[in-house]
Amino acid sequence: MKLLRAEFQNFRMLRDLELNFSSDPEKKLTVIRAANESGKTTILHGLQWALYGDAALPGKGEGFRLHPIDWNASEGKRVPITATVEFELTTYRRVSGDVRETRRRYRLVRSAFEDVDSQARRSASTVKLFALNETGASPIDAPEAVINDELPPELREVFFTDGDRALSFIEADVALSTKRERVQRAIRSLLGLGVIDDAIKHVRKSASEVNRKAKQVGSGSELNRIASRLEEMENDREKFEADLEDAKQQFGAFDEKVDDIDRKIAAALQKGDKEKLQKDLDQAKREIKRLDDQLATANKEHSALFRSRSIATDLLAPLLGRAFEKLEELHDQGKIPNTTIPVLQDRLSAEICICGETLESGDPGGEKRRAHIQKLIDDSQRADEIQEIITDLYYGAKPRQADGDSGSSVWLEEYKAVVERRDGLQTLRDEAGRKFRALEMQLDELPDTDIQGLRETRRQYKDQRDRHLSRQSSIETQLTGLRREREDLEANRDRLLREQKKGARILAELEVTQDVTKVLQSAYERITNEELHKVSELMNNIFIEMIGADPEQGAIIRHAEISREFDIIVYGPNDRTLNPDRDLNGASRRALTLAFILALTKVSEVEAPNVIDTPLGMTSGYVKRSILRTAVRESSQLVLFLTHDEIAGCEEIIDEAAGVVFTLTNPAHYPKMLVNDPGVAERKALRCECDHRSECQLCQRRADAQAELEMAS
Amino acid sequence: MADRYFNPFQAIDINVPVEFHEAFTRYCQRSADAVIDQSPFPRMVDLWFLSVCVAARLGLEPADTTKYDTRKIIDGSIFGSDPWRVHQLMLIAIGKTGDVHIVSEPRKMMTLASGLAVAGLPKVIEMLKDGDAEPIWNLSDAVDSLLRKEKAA
Amino acid sequence: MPLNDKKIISIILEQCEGIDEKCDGYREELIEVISEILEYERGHRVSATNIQKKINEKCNAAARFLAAQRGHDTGTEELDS
Repeated sequence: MKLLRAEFQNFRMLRDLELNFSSDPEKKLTVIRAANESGKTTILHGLQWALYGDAALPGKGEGFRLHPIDWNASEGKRVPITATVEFELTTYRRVSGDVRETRRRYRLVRSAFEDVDSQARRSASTVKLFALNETGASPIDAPEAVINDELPPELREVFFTDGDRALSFIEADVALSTKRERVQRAIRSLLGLGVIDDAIKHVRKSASEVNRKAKQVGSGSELNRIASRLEEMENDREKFEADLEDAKQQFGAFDEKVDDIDRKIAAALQKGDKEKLQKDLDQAKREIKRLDDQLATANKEHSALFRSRSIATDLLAPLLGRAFEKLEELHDQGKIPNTTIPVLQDRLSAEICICGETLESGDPGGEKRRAHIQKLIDDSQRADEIQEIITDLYYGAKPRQADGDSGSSVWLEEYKAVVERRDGLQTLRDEAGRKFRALEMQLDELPDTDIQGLRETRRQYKDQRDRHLSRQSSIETQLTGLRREREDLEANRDRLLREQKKGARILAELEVTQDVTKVLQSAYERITNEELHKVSELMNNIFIEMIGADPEQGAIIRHAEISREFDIIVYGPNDRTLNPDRDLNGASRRALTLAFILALTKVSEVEAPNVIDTPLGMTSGYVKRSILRTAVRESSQLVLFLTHDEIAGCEEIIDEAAGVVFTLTNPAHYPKMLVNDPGVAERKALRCECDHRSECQLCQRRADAQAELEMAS
Repeated sequence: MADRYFNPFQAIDINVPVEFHEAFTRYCQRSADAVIDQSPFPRMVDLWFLSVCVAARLGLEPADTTKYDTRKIIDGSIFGSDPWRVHQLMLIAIGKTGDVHIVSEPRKMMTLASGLAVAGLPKVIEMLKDGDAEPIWNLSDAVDSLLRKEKAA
Repeated sequence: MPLNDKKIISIILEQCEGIDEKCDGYREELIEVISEILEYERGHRVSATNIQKKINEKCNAAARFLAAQRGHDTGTEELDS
C-alpha cells in the first residue's frame, strides 16, 4: 500500500486540511514540518481513524472528542466529521507461469456525527471504499476487510509510529509474554501468515468433506466406521485448538496481572519503610535469573558435545587410524603430491626461490628456474580426479587425525568441564532459591495488611496462571494423541478406499487436499523461521548503523537480535544481555524500535508506508542524520512529521530524499511564536507549501524573525 | 578442498527406517523451547552421525538398508554446515572397505554410512535409555565408558 | 495482502518441489490450485464469498486430473501385462 492523499473535515483541529504524500520510488520521503501543537499527532490519529475506526483512537475512542474544541454551536449542534484516505495497492498473481502485477487506486471515506456538548456523543462511523478508475469511483463491499488485510490492525504500531509509543516493543515494564506476543503478532501478520492459516483451515474442511464421501461409499462397512471416527476427530480437533488458544491467552493475561501485582508490592514495600527487604528480594530475583541464564547456556554446551568434532574423532579413532594408514601408504609411494603448488606459486610471484636465488623474469638464471618451477606446478595439477580428492582429504584431515592420535580423549575432557559447570551452577541455583524463599517468608510475616492483601491476590493470580498453563499442556497432549490416531486411521481408510471401485477418485481428492495442506504448512513454517532470522539480522544491521557513530553507546552495544521466542535482545560485551530501559540511552532505544519496524516492513517486502511522528526526538548530530538516512533507505514510503529542531542539520538529506515537503501551522501560535497574524480566529491546522528551507508570511516563526532583525541591525 | 568436492553428499538425502523416526523426534531438539536434558541432540543429523560413529567404534557391520522401509529425514546439504563430517564419512568408507577409490563414489559412501547408522541406532537408543537419569546424562555416561573401556582394551 | 504476494508465491513454488510428482504435470497442477486458493482467500477477505465451495471445487478438479492421468497409466500397465 502506498498513501497518496488524505483529507480531513472537522477532525479535531483539522477543520479542513488536505495532505498529499510522495509516491515516487526515487523520492520516497514526505516531510510534514510542524511545530508542536500544530496537528501532527492529530493527523496520526486521523489517518488511523480513517483506516480502523474508533478502535484506533486513544482509549478505543471512549470519551475521545473528535470535533474541534472551539466549534461554534451556531454552525450546528451536530458536527459532521470526515476523514478520507486515498491509496494505491499492488497485487501479484501467478498467471500461466508468469507473475502479473496490478496497481489499483482506492479511496476510503469514514464519517461520523458528533454532538456539541460536554459528552460529545457520536454516531457509529460509516465507512466506504471506492475503487478509482478513469471514469469515476466504484464502491467496494466490506472495506474493513480490505484494510485489515493490507494494513492489519495489530500492525498499526508498525505503520503508524509515535516515536515514543513505539517503545512498547522493548519496554521493560511489560511482561515478557506480552512483548513477545506483540513482536510475534507483528511478524506473523506482516509476513502474511494469516492468509495461509485461513487457507489451511479451509483445505482441512475440504478434506473432511471428502472424508464424508468416503463414508458414503463404504456404508455399513469398516470404511464407514473409520471415516465416521475421522469426522468426529476433526470436530474434536477444532474444539481443542480453540481451547488451546484460549488457554494461551488466559495464561498471558494472568501473567501480566502477576507482574503488575509484583510492581505494586514493590511500591508498597518502599512506602512501608522496607526498602532493605525490597532490595534483597530484587537482588535475589536477579540472581536467580542470572543463574538460570547461565544454566541454560551450560545445558546448551552439554548438548553441543553431541554435535562436536571431538566425539566423532574420539569414537572413530581406531577406524580412522586404519583409513589413514592407507593414505599414508599412498603418500609414501608418492601418489599424494605435496601441497607445494601454492608455495611454488607464491615464490613465482615473489620472484625469489625458496633457496634464495632470484626468479626474476629478466634474469637468465631466474628465467630457467621459473620454467622449472612452472613445470613442477603443471605436473602436480595434472593429478587425476581421485588423486585430487584423496590429496584434499589427506591434507584436510591430517591435522584432525593428529588430534585423535594424541592418546587422550578430547571429548572426555570437554565432558568433565561441562559436568563441573552444570553441577556448580546447580548448587548455586539451589542456594539462591532457598534464599529467595526465606525472604518470601519474611514478607509473609510483615504485619502490613496492604502488602498481605496484595500477596494474597498475587497467589490467586499465580494459581490461575498456572492452571491455564497446565490446561495448555493437557490440551497439547490430547492434540498430539489425536494427531497420531488420525494418521493411523487415515492410512487404514486410504487402504480400504484403494480396494473400492469408486475409491480411486476419492483417494485422489484426499491426496490433493493432503498435499495442498502440506505445502501450505511448510510454507508457513519456513516463513516464520527463515523470515524471523532475516528480520533479526536486518534489525541488527540497521540498528548498529544508526547508532554506529555514538561513542558512548558504541562501547556497550555489540549487537541486537530477535530470538526464536520473539524476544528483542540487545547484547553488550561478552554476550551480556542489556536491559533496553536501563542500559540504552533515549536515542538508542528509538533507533532500536525504528530498526525493528523498518526491518520487519522491509523483510516482508510489503509495500507499506511508515508514518512516524517525532522520529528524531532525543537524537542529535551524526546519529540523528544516520537514523534519518537509514530510515529513508530501508522504507518503501516514509512519511515523517518533523519539528524545526528535528530538521536542523538534516536539510541535505531531505533535499535529496523528499518528494513532498510542506508545513503546517497553528494560527493560535500568534503572537507568541508566529511573526505575522494569520487572521484566523479558530484553532486549526493551516497548510502552506513552504519546504524545510523556506518560510512564508504564514509560517514564519518568531525565533527566526528575531534572528533576522538581529542580522539586519 | 577443491570447491566441487566441498560436499559430495549435497544431493544425497539421508534416509532412515521408519521405526526409528520416533527416536529422532524424541531425542532431537525441534524447537528453541526443547528440554535439552530430554532431547540431547541439537539436530537430527547429530543423532544420525553419532550412530554411525558408535557402530564404527563397536565394529558393527553395516545393516542392509534395502530391507527397511526408509524415509528421508535429513537433506544431504546439511554436511555443508559441518564440512569436517564430509572428511570423516570418506575416511570411514576407506577404513571399512580398505579401498581408497571409494572416495569418488558419494552414493556408495552414503549407503555404507546409512548402513552403519541403522546398525548403530539401536545401540545409541539403548545408551539414551539405560540409566536412572535423563537421556542426556545416560548418553553422556555411556559415551564416557565406551571411550574409556575401548581405550583400556 | 500483508506479505507481498510475489514472495508467498515463490515460497509456495519451492515447497511444491518437495511433493511427489504423482503423475505427469501434478506439481504444476498443485501450484495452480494453491495460487488460486490464496487468491480466493484474499477475495474472501474483501467481500465474503462461498469460499469453502470454491476451494472444494478447486481441489476436486485437481483430483480429477490426477485420477484421469492415473487411469491412463493403469490402462497402459494393463495392456502391458
